[in-house]
Amino acid sequence: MLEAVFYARFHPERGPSVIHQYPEASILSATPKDSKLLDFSDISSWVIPAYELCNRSLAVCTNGHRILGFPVSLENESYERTRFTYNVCFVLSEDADPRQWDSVVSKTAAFFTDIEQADGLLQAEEQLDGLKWAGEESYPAEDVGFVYTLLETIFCELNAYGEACVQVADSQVLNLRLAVPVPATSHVRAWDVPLLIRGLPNADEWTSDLALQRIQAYVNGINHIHRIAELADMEIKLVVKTVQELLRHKRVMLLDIFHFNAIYTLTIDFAWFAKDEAMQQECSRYVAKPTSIAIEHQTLVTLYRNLGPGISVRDFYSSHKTQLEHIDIRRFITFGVIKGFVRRIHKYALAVDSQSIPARNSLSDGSPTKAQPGLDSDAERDRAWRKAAFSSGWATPPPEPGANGQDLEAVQRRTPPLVEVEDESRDVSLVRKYLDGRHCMDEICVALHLSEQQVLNQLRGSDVLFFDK
Amino acid sequence: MPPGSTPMVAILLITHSRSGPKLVFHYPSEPRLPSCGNAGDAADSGNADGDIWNGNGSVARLRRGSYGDGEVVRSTEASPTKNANDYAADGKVLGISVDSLEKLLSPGRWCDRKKFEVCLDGLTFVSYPVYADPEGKWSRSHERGTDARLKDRPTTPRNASGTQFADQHRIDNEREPGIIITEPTSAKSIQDFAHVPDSLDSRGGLSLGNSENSGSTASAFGPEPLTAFHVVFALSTSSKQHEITEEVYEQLAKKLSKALAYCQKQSSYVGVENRRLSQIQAKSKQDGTSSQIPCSEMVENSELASALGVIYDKVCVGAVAAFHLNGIEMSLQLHHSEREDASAFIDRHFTVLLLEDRDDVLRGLSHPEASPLAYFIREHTPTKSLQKQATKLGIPVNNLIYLAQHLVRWQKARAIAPLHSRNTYIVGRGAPLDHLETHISAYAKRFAGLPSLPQMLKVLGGRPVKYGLLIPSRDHQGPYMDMLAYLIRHKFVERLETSGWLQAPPVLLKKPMVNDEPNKNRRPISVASLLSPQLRPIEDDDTASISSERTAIPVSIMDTIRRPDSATQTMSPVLSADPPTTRMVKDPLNSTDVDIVCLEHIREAVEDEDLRERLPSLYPYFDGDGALEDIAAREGLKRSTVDGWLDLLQKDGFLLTFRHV
Repeated sequence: MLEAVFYARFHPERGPSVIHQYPEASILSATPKDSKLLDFSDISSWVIPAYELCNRSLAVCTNGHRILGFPVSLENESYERTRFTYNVCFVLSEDADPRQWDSVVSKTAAFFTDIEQADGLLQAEEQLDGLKWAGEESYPAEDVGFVYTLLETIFCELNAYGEACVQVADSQVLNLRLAVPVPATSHVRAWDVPLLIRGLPNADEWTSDLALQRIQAYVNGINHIHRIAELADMEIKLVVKTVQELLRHKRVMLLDIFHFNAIYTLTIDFAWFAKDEAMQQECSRYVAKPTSIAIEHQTLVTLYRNLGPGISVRDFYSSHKTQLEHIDIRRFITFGVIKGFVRRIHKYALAVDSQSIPARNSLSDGSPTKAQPGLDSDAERDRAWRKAAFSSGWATPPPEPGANGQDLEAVQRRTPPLVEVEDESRDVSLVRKYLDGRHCMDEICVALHLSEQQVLNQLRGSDVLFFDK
Repeated sequence: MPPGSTPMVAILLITHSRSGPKLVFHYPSEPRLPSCGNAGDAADSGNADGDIWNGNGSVARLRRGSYGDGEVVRSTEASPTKNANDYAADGKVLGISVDSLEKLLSPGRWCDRKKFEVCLDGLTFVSYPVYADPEGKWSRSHERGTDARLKDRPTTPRNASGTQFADQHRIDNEREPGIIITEPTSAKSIQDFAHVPDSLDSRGGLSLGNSENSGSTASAFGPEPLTAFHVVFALSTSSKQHEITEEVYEQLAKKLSKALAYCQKQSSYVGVENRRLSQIQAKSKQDGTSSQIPCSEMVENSELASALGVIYDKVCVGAVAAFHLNGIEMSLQLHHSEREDASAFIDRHFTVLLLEDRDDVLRGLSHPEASPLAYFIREHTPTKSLQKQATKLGIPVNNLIYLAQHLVRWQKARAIAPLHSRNTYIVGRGAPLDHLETHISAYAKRFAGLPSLPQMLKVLGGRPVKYGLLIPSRDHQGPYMDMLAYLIRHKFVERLETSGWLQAPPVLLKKPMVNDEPNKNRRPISVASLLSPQLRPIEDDDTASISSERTAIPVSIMDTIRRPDSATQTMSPVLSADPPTTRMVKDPLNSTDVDIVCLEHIREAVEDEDLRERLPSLYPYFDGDGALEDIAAREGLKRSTVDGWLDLLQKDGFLLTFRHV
């Protein structure tokens, strides 16, 4: 909630002065009995600071108010003392979140700069006959100048609608909107599985994001980021960026890769599920196989409670085959993960022989784009080629002759043979990099294009221990 | 940014005299500027997009410094090293000339003992300026500060029980000498002040005795007496800017400035330090030495400078900063609100786990041999609840809770449920795998001859087992519990908890429940799967349960709207005649009439007499939230007894449990 807005400048004779303000007596007033928001003399040195501090946002708090400003200092021979320093300040309550106002403040400053540099409107305003300055008797003078009206519109419209639109001259229009706080971006890794939780706009209308158009078909709650990149024939970091954007807008959520070796456990939120009939109803609808019947709520509760550390989905499934007959096991697990009462326990590998643990920085686990699979020369060549192709605008060849690049099965079929022809010893050395206990099995599998069983086979006989976390 | 840390950029000491404000000291010597406006989200690669998305494009243009004054405003590309070089080369601090910075950070008297906050393009400066009275005197005008200190003293059971402590342990507890990790506002600081040896020679002549004259003493130090000072905390803007600024203000700036105001009033402390620092600055300017040298020299020669350095270093990593001001011991730390909440109250059935070695904690105490806190630390064990320890040590439990809270508040301990070999521990989500190598060697050194850390991870990271099963013999109990304490302390493992609800199986409900049951079409739940704590529904030898297992599918088919299978339809009339179902008591504290009947049935059906008698008092634990592992400690029962009861309830199908972490 904006409490006041004012336009102040450094006056060669008067020093820092408020020229216009809205509401009329918010900062300076002719009659001392008016209640002012703050004492301008306290903060004048932050409203009009040293030149060095100008042209960047500067806010100060006083008397329970936060004054957001963006002091601008223009240098030109035509100005008195060759300088014109001014600031349009927004007064908020000190407790208000200033972040969503930052762009409004800086944009207003930029607008004032534009109208001054293009048409000299700010300087011209002060030459007008009959102009009253803030704090003078009978301020504001009616129909003199434009700045007061401009401030009034900004104030009223921003408070009423959160946005404002003011036209000053034919070509000078100020559009403001309070920024919606942008949540911090989550980390998206190559082995995360994005799942759409809200529909996307029609792809035909959604033309601005080409990357999104391209991956949209593959975001299905099953494909992980790396596979989406392969299927859509895109660079993985573009996919990551697009998914991050979707996350930011709460269009997707990230799941783990579902497979039968995965282990899931309950969280304390399961109590909530067990008590909530509506949630169980929702679950029952979600997990039932298409042609099947509705699932008993009690069955669901019973089934879920049997998940736990040390029990893989395979074990779970084989022990509860009968009860799971009408249940899609993947959706069953996914539902719990989406609702937050089930979470994945990842398997980690640790080489016991400390010499085989690589140095800390040998493999960055920070960025999914860096922790790329198969950093061998083939993959690098392939990536270089793709990069060149992307930058040149060519279409890259499909992953396999005959495959159309959209066929999941094709990719799956393609993967194992590729691995089999690889040199066995080199594979082991590739796996070795991940055995420092910092990389989960999903990451290793995605990076090396192997199944968990294949990784385990490769490590058979070596001094590696596994633990779930 | 590690958890618990702040986006702190620098600490600056600004003093005012008649000639104007002066930046006397800042730490670190070359503060790293946040790389861009949204420093808190530095990891956010999509930042630039965010700005554009906000309609912020014009900002970039403004920042490029396209203005006549030719001032190159800190652009987003500016690297920290470049800024550092700037500083070294042209005497800028935080990319701003010292002169401008001094002006920026010099509020008028309107800000005396109030919050001062300025945000400059991604940097927030927050402080609590303290002014001398209008005549420039320090002594009289700041009585108010002392009052506030006294008022702020903790009103906890400590004061009430202090004499009790002294009686019981013949400890001179009047000044609570043992509690060194104390807040600046405690009375002890004031009293310790007189006898702490002076390490700094120039303060020799100043003591409590002449504090009355300290106003004139201050003016004797130079022609320009101090009129105001403030310690400014520079923070980079982050997503939680507002909260963090408030925390830094309340917990660091305000407390530190109040303490400094006290010292200044007592002995012109800030004035003396100011003069000392200014001399070093002037000397280095004369010698023309580089800017880093005076910083390290200042930290070496000035207690205040070194204190500010410690605060910066420690707070940046979320640790407790312990330092001296005028010889007075003081500690500061940043409590994030959630942590404070967590430490606000420790249940008597909980205990604390020391986060450092016992000896290290004891060494940190100024009187390790004789204080209640030291006694508690020496005698404390993480396997017993505070209640039990209180009985053992003969100390009222409230006193122990207070001491435990004190340790938790100052990050020396963490509240945990007492360790027990009957609990199951599994590798925790937050296990510090990034520092595994350090831990492996530290662990090996500490627990030589016992299973190594990787082996423990393997065992605890597999199928969950009760921790006691890993202990080979009774003699190993102690070392193994120590190992567990180590693993818990470093968050390698956490307790796998069991929660659950009581439930009445259909057999019990046949008579009274027919009318009450809202959903008559429920199929009987597989008792076998309810019974089995693990995955053995089919192998269960309860024949009744097997038959219900068989009926499960047809019944569930029966009560659906779609009945695709004609074979099942033929079965349904037979089964629908008697459809009682297992009834779970979801909320035993607010139970309905039906629930009460259920609970009564369960109680009557229990065969074990002790359990039958005790069961009603245990009802509240079966709410699906609390850990059943805590029942024994809370009810003062033997763990094996309670575990036996729970097994009985499970065996009879009266208990539905789930395990969670």
